[in-house]
Amino acid sequence: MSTNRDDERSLVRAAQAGDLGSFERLYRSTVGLVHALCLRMSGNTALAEELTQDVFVRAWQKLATFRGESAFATWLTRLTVNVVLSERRDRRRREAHITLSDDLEPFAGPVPDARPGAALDLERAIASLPPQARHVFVLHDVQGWEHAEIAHHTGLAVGTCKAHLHRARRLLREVLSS
Amino acid sequence: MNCRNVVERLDEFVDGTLTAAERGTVALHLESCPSCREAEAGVRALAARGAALPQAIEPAHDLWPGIAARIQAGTVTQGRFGAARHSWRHHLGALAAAAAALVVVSSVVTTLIVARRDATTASSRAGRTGLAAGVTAASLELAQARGTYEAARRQLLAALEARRSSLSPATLKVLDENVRIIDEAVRQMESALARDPGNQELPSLLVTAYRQEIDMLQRAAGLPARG
Repeated sequence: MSTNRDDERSLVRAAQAGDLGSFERLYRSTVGLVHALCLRMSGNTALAEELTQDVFVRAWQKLATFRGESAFATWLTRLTVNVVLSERRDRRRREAHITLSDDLEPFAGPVPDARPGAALDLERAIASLPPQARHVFVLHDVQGWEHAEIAHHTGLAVGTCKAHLHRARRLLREVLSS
Repeated sequence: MNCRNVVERLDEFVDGTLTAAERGTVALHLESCPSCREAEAGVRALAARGAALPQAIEPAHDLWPGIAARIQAGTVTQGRFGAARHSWRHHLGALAAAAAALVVVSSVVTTLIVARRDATTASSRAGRTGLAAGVTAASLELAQARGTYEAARRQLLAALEARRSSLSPATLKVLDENVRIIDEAVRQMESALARDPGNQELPSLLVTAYRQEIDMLQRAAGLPARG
């Protein structure tokens, strides 16, 4: 289901006034976008569905703050990224006694020669990336975000985002060219 | 600028974020270096594949009823594991999915990586300097991660053992099977690494697997007792 911009504004206004039916129509038109982002950023099907639900519950709660300055899908995408990253931060706090480092840079190897063929599906390869590299790759290469925007949402420095993207691309090329 | 300097800048070159001077230098090198041009083509192809992925993926089933119920109930809390409203069946589904994903990724990737180890081991060994034979920075990091993982795993398995009587037989069966599957995936990757200690990719995959197993065990330890 898709909505044009005027329909979208009407639905948002009605939903902001408390009409759950209108919010359901907004959900139907955008759930694929939200779920795809949750799935790629989390790398986990079950978690992605939970996160998708969280996003729409949060969207309902924050709908009054949406002023229509961007498309609803754009606002929802930013909210989705915040929900996914927030869930990960919360989980890491709960697991604070586990000190496995997310920084796998010491494991980095040389950039391999490019090889033809794709033995692994790109989606599965993305899911196998370390979390921060996966987040940056998905936001930059799939969603088309700039490093500055990724840095703003993730709390990372721009240079760190670039390093994660470099690492993600290198690992993906390794796997996909095998 | 040599090949290593160029390769380090290829992402920014492809993304168009280099300064004009750096861009010119990289471009000049690419004109005369076939291997760097090939690497550049690889980065461009990957970025293009990423951008071409579908922007929307519908969930396997309709999530709206659950969302509507939470909205109508005025639920404020996030829906992740540990929230009381999730049934034990839902938790087990998540655990099974995590285990299955780990096994698929680890076994396929391990097989592919090990199959080409002969091609990569020689070059990686040639690059090692400053450490005793057979010891790399990666192997030291991995040893630390493995120690942490094994300690955490022991604690969590003990916590699970202590509350076995509060979980149903069906729950325990699924838990035990998932632990067995993940342990087997980890064992296979460790075995592959033992056969090919110079492999560049296996350590990071192993650490990811360690983290996933600990995550799964923590979720399992937090499963609600069946009422």
